[in-house]
Amino acid sequence: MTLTRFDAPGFLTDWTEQAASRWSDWISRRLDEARANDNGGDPAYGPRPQFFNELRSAPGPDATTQDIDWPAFPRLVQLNSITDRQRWRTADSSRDQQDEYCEWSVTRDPETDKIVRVTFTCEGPEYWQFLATVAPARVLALYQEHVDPQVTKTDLFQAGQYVVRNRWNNSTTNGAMHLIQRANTLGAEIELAAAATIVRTRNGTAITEAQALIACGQYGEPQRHSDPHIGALVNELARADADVTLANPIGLYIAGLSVAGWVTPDGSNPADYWTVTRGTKEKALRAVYEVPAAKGFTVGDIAIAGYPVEFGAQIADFIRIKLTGLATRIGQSTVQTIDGCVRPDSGEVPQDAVLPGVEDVLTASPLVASHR
Amino acid sequence: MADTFGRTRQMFPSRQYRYDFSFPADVVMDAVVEPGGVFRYILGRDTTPALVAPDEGRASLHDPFAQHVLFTDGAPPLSLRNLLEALDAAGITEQRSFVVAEGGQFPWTEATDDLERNFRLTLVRQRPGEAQPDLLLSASTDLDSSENFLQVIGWDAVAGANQFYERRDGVWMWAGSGWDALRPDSRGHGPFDSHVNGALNMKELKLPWLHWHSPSAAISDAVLAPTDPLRNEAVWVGRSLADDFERTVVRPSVDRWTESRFTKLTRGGVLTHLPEFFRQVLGTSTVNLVSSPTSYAALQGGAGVALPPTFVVNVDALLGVLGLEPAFTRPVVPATVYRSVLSRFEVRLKAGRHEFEQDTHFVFVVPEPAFEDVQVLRMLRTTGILSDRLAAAILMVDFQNPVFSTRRMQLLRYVPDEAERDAPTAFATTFVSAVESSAAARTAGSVEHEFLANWGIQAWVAEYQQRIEAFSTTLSSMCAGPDAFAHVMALAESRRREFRRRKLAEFRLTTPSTNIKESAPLLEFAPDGSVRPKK
Repeated sequence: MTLTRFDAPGFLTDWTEQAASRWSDWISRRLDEARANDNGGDPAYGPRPQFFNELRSAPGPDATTQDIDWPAFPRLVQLNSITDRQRWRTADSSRDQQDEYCEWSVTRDPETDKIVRVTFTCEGPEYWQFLATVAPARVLALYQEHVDPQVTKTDLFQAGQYVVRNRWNNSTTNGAMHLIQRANTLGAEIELAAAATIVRTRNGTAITEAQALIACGQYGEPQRHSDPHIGALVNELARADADVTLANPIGLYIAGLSVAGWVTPDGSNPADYWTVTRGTKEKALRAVYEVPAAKGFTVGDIAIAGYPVEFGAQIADFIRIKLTGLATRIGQSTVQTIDGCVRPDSGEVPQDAVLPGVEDVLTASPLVASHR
Repeated sequence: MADTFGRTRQMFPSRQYRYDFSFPADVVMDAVVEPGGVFRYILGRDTTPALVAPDEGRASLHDPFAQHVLFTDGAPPLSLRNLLEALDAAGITEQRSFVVAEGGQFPWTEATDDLERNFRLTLVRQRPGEAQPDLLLSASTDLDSSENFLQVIGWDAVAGANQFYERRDGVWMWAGSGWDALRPDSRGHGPFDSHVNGALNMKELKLPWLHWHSPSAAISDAVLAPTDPLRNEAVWVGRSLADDFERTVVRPSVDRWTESRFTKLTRGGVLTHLPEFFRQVLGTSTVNLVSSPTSYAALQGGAGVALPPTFVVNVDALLGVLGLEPAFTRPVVPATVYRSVLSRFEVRLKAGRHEFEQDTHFVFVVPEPAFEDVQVLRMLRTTGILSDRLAAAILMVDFQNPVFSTRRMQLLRYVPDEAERDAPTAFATTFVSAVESSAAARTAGSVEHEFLANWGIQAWVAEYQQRIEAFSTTLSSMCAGPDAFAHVMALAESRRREFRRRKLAEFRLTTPSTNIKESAPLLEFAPDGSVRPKK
């Protein structure tokens, strides 16, 4: 079926039909920009003709989707830690450490300090900036529903502008409504996927190895789980001479939680305490791990691999994040390979440069004007 | 069609239990077994295979494979594909597949078609909704073969152990349970040459999961011939990542088996068979392999090589379990230094006629203390047998050699046969008294003397932390220049040579080759960080 509009991540319905079209326009524009991006004329950087916008070029009958998943626990933290306890503590210390497109916040019992709830999110900040512009009341209501009933409008907005890192979304202890780590954006996801569609060669031989590809294409942080892995798998689709894009609805999702090796005090199934609270089961954007009060124990009383849960990161160890790629016209692409790498002075992909892009779309929107 | 591809021409002789080792000379395998049957054959104990009747099998083996496939009506499936169909029919439908291949980063070309990439598939199966898989299948990529290796490990909740099976010569063999790994006659034989203590075994358990399809390095379609049908098989297309296997399959399974051993061997509050546990703490019953997260490609691009912390000391035990918190300096080797030493030792990857002038995909692979051994230490601590102080005093003996320490292993003779749980002081008294009573206790330089000196340190936490800090700092300084680092590399290769002497080492591509002879003297670290021939 031909796509007529990009849906909101997780098929969310937080806004009006008119706003939904605007969101689709914004996603469409980002895809077009990512496809065309040549970073000022570097042919090794772009354009990326094997990356396509589904609204402009419908997939063929051979279209196939592929989930690409990776661990939620930040690899950089793992590399820089000696013991599990060190890495859990570090990952729980700041949202800036949580750079695998998954962030979390931990709620503890004020008397016992035991964990009672851990909230995980993989919602891109752009969605929330957009929502704050088109439906600010809805933003407040969602914060009150998902983070804390005490959230006020002035906590979230300053001079009419939504504060991405507001007091209810800037720490690992006071709530996590959406992603805030600078690299965790939808824009980064799109740019990475587009850049990885360039089939690269060196002296005529295809570059296939993940680290070699990301070093050559400079499309992300090579020490993360996510970026090199996404890049390698997208590039594999491109090497099959396919046209490639991100499947609708474009977003980052929680692929699942495993509870293998978890033990509850009463022998109940640890999976029973995991609830997806935004998005769908297949396209989960937000999830909460919490034991109902009636059970008589808390998350902190559950043991994972023999150790009681003292950190949200222990749960993150068992969470996977994913995006979904779409390949079509497999074997039909005639795009030439690129022999060479991105110019060294190109620098990293500007992962937070996406934020002005939201404004670009909204500047022309009457919804913006009415709000302001 | 299938034999068009090099990967299917590869056999795995080391993956098939070495029946020839125990057969009497006049017994011919083919003459003993009859097609379609299921046989018990525990190497080291049974002289010939013995037919297991279906009723007997169902009554004695309680894992899902025995209950729902092996001893049901009809002939058992002989190929992986047929086995998966049988599991589907039994409702054991939830599947994840994993791929490991030592040559998994060498793209296919006609010239490398015959390179033995050592592809293995590992599949786990469980019923929908189950938290933990009870079935693990290990197979070649030849899905329809009834000849190439196919092994099954099933968790038997009644026995509290894994059951090990192999399809061989058209029949299925039950090769024993995890308990047989621990019994003297069958220990080290059959499946227990690699599942040494009866646990699941994933050699490259940790990040970057060298050789596995992982978030660190995908094994891509590029390693298969363009027309290879495996590219379209579900077990290949849907392959999961090694970190998932580590976190949700192997570690929980090892924990389950370890806890079962402690539970079933406790009688009246007393843990029996104590030396079986302590040999995993004092010695190196088995190992995992760990490498630097730096890939060879990144090294060529100038990235430094961070050495694995467990190469330096047993951080998983001393820091992870016992909670020491030294200011540990993780040694990092500059790329120029590392490349220089690779050249000096003529490091290569070799397999048959193929030779590649490089280190492993992720460089500096070395054996490290096995996760299953560390978990035994953790359980000895949590069951109240080992105090932190005693555990640290033991592990700080020859601490600079975290694996293959024959010196530390000598303390096993002082471990009693059993110990009361929740009485760490009593155990410490017994153990220390036994060491003190030995003649060697008063001999300077003996392991007994070293242990007792450790035990006598009152401020032991600070002292051990200082020793670890000093050693890791020394080692870091040795990584700064090629001459000093050459000693470190030679020691790493010595540990790899010790690994290769074990049956756990199956393939030549697992570790690199060097110009150091396999028979050269083995090396160890002295307490001051110098490298010396092993005593």
